[in-house]
Amino acid sequence: MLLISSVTKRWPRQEKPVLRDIDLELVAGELAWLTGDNGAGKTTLLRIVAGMIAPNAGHVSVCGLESRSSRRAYQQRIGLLTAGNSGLYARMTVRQNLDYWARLALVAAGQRRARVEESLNRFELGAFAGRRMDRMSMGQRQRVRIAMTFLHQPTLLLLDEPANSLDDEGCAVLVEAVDEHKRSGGTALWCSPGGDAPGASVERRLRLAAGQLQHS
Amino acid sequence: MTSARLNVVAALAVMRRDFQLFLSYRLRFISLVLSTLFAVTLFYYVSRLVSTRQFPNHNAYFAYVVVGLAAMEILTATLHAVPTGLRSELLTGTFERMVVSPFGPLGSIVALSLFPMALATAMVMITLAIAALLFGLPLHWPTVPLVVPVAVLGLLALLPFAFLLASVVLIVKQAGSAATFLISGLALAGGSFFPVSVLPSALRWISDVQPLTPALELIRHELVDASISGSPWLAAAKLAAFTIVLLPVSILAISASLKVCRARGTLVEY
Repeated sequence: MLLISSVTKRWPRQEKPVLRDIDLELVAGELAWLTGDNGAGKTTLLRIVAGMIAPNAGHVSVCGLESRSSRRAYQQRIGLLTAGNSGLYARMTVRQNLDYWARLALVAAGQRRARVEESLNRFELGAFAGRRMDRMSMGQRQRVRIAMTFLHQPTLLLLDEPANSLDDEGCAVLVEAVDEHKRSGGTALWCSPGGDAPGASVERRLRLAAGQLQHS
Repeated sequence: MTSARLNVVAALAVMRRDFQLFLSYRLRFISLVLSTLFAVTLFYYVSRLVSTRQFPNHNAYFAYVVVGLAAMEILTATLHAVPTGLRSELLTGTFERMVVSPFGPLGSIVALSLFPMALATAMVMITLAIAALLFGLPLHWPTVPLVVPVAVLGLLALLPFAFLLASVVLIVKQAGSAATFLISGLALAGGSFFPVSVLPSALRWISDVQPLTPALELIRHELVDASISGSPWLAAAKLAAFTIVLLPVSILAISASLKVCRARGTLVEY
């Protein structure tokens, strides 16, 4: 499903690479829990897998596809949730944000409405569907961001600190969605600075330190 | 649904989103119409003072400058709205979504031009309507419908400058001042507010190497039957040539900037 081979990333004017010879293979149905100190390179690794950053060396493939040669098909298989609370249009409603993403994700017209409604229900956003984003709490916004990550039914989820701002109920909804994703044959890579996964069954535990991936 | 059709849907989604955001500010359209009204009124009274060899009467200059005002709408829509729109996407983190979307960052940046162009077209029509209905702008009705294809051609010829600025935004993360500089330069050399013939000969060559001059000449010719230097077909051919040459170059420039930013890891930095 996800194959990372010998990936190295070096920032300009920095002596040591942020990532050095990273190798990782995740198969269908696996959830990998990736930890590491602040600045260890977790977000960089996720962004490389998401096709936002090109590595200096190495390859990444998802379902046998590479971002450079099959960009569209590659991106259709990836659901990226970045850390923070950005990526939403403050003056658009929850439904408008989801519908907009469905169109950018090239979801077929016949499925778009159903996917939006399904996302609203799945992440318990139905009551807020017509509310503008700038009138939502941080936790509610995070649910919308998570809903967008799942909406186009990707096979690989890249989750960067997804539980941020979520209350217990929100965390439970997230964990249930990730578990369901795994049951349907999907894979997920969940990044967190530390601690333990909030209730999700984790198949792989990984730690980034000094630019290298440690498997435990 | 074919891939091409899904691309069109995604591009229109960006346009629709910009429209939704525009509508969310309720007074924005009214303030745009009022500022257009004030600008047309201002130049109407300025035109009352203009009496030169180039303009045999006051109304001739008014007709000339109204087209210049309309062109400024188009210039601002293309050259300013696209790079500043991209800058805004970077600041709010929404560009990140465009980058990881199957539609992709290149298509998204190109689609950022759709709503500003549609709005500019509406504002051009409002400008002309105000000038005609309130101040008696004498329209040359037999050729007025030709203004639409000419304006579209003019927009397409100017759009590459917006895309080039967008490619600069990706690298240096700002281009507002460059856009303002370019708009002012084009307005100066393109004949928006005065004929390029009054420019010193050392500067006049600039008016020949950019698309605003033939676009304005052609629009004035079709709209108010103004005289044109050379054939209208030659002016149209110049616009088509600018489009054919510059549009692919500007798209390549965006692609190159995206590639550089991916390598540097600065694609979503702001």
